[in-house]
Amino acid sequence: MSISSSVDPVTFEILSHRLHQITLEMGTTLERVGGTVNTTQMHDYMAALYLPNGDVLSAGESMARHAACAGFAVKRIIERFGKEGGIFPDDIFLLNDPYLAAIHQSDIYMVSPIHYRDRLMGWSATFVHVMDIGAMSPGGNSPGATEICHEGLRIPGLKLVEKGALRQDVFDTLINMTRQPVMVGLDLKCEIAANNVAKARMREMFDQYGPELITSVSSEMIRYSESILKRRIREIPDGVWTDSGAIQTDETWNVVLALRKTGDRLVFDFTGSDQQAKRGINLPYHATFGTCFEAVLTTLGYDLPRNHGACGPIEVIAPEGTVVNVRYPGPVSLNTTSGMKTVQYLSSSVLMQMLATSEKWQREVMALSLGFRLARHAGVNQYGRYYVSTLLDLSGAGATSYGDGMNTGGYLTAHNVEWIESNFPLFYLFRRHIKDGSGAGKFVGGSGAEAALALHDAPEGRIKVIAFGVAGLRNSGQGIFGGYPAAPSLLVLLEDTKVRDFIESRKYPKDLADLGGRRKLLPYCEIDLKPDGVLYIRSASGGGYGDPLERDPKLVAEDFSNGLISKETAEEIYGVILDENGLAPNLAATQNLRLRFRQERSEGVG
Amino acid sequence: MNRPLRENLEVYTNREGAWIRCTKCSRVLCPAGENWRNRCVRKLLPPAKGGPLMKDLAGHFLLEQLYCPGCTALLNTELVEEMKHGEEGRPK
Repeated sequence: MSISSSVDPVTFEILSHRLHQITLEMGTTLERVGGTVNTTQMHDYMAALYLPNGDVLSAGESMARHAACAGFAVKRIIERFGKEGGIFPDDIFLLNDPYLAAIHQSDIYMVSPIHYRDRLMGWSATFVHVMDIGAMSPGGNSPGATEICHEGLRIPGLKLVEKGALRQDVFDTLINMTRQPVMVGLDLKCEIAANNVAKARMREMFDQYGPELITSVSSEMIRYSESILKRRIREIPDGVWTDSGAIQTDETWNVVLALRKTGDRLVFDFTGSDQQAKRGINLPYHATFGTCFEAVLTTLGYDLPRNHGACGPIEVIAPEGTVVNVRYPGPVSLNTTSGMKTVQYLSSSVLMQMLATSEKWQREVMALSLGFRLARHAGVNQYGRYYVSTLLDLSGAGATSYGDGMNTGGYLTAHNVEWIESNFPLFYLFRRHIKDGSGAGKFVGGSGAEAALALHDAPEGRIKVIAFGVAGLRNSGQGIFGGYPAAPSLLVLLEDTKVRDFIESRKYPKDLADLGGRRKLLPYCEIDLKPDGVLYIRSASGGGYGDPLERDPKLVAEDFSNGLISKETAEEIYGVILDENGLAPNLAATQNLRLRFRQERSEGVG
Repeated sequence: MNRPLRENLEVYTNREGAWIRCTKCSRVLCPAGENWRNRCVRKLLPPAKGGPLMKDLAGHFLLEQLYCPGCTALLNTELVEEMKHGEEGRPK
C-alpha cells in the first residue's frame, strides 16, 4: 500500500515515527513525575495525540482502548467549552465522567489543546489511575457500590489549567475530596507535565516542518492505517463467529458476542448480553467500543500507525441497559478489570476464530485470557501515614500457533517487592511462577505468578484489602483449538495461620498448606488483613494451543526442569514418561502411553 | 479448493458441495453450513484432568473435549458449566 503523492515516503516515515515518539516521551513523563505504583511502576496510564476534532492521531503504545475513550473526552470538551470560546492556548481540561467518555472515575483524563500561532492544531491527552477518588471504598474500586453516586467524584469537564496557570482553588478542591491528597495531587501534576511535553514537542515540529506538512502527514497516517486494515479484512473469508463469557460471584452476568465480517466491515454485536448489574462491572458504550478498537489494532493492525483509521472498519452494537452499555445510574467502578476483561477476551476470541479461516492469517492465532484477580490495600503504614495502593501479579500470555506463551508478561508490569515492603506494612512470604498453572497444549500457555503476603509492622494491627478483578473461577487463560484452559486466578484469605511462627523463626513456607489456617475464597468484597492472616494472590496463566499429546516430549522435560510442571502433569496430561532424574523423556514409553491415551478417547462413548 | 477452518479442520469442496473435514484423517464431519461440534466424539471430564490446580473448579465446571470421530484428534477443550449438563453429564 503506497502513501499519497502529497507527502514523500521518507518524510512520512520520519514524521509519523516522531509523533509516536512524542507519545512515548509523554509516558516517560508520567512515570517520572507521578507518585503512585500504578503510574510509576505498572504502566497503568495512557498518552496519545489527537486531531483538532478529537479523532485519534497517535495512540502511543499504552492501552489503545483508553486512547479511543480519551478521543471522546476531547469531543466532549470541545462541545462544552468550544461554543463559549473557552478553549485557549495552554489550557488543560480534566474529565472523568464514565457517562461521557471515561471508563470509570479513577481513570482521570486530562486533555490539552495544542495551538500553534494561536491556531488550534490538535490535542494531547493522558490518563492515570489515581489512587483514590472519594468513592465508598479506598482506591475507587467499590464492591459495595450499587449506583454511580457511590463511586466518587464524577467530573463532566473542568478547566484545571487556564492559559498556562494552575487553578489552585480547583486543584485543592479536587484533592481535598480524596483519601490521598498528596498522591492524587502528584498524579494530576504528572498528567499536566505530560501534556506540556506534548505541546512543546509538537510546537518544535511545527517550527521545523511547518503546520501544513504536519497536517498532511497526520491525515495521511489515518488514511494509510484505515486502507491497509480494510485490505487485510477483505483478504479473510466472510463469516460469523461467536463466543460468550461470564462474570460470577453471588450472581452471574453473561456477555455474548457475534462478529459478522462482510467485505471490509467488522460488526461486533453484543445483543443477548445480560441486563446491567447492580455491581460496578458495567461498561459504558464508548468503553465497549474502545475495547473492540483495541482488539482490532492488536490482531490485524499491530504493525500500523495506531490511530483513528482503525475505527473505519468497525461497528459495535451494544444494547442500552446491558452490562456492555450501562444506563445511568448503573455503577462502573470495578469494570476495567471485570466487564472490560470479558469484552477484551470475547472481541479477541472472535477475531482469532476469524483469522484461523485465512491461510495468510492463521499463524497469528493466539490463546486468550478471561482476566485475573487483584486487590487494593489501604490503612496506616509503618510510618504512621494513611495510604492506598495496589497488589497485582503478572499473568502468563496465551500460547500461539507457533510457540509457547510468555511467562509473566503483558502490557502491565508488576510492582517491585522491596518497594512494596519498604512503603507499606506488608511482608512477602513468596512470589514465584505457578507450577502446573499454565494451559496445556502442543504449545503451552505462559506461567503466571503467585504470591503470599502477611501483615508486618502495621501500627493498627490490620489493613483493609479490597478484592476485585474477574470474580468466579473461569477467569484465567482459555485454551484454543484443543489447548487446555489455565488454572483459575484466585484471591484467598487464610485466617488463623501459623505465619507469625514462620516470620519469627525466619523461615518461609514452601507451600501454602504449610501455613495451616482456614481458606476463604474472596469474591468482590472488603476484608481486614490481620496479624495471623495471609493473603494469597494467584494470577492468571496463559491458555494452551492444540493437543498436549502433540507437544514435543523434550519440551515437556524442559518444563519439568524449569519447575513449571510436575512429573504427574508430564505423565497424565502430556503422556510423557520422564527418566529418573527428569532431564529427558523416555521416548519408547512415551509413545506407548500416548497411544493408550488416544485409544481411551473413544472408549465409553455411545 | 480447500481452506482452513481451524487447527485440524478445513473446509473441503468437491462436486457435491462444501464439507468440514479433519485434516489428520480426512474424515468428513458435516456439510460446511452445519455445526461440526455436533458430529464430534464428546467427553466430559472432571476439571482436575486439566491439571492439579483445576480442582477448585470441581462442582462448578467440567472439562469438555471434542475429538475427531475418525482418528480421535483433539479438536476442542473448553470449560462448561456443570449445572447446564446435570447429573447425566457428570463424569463417573
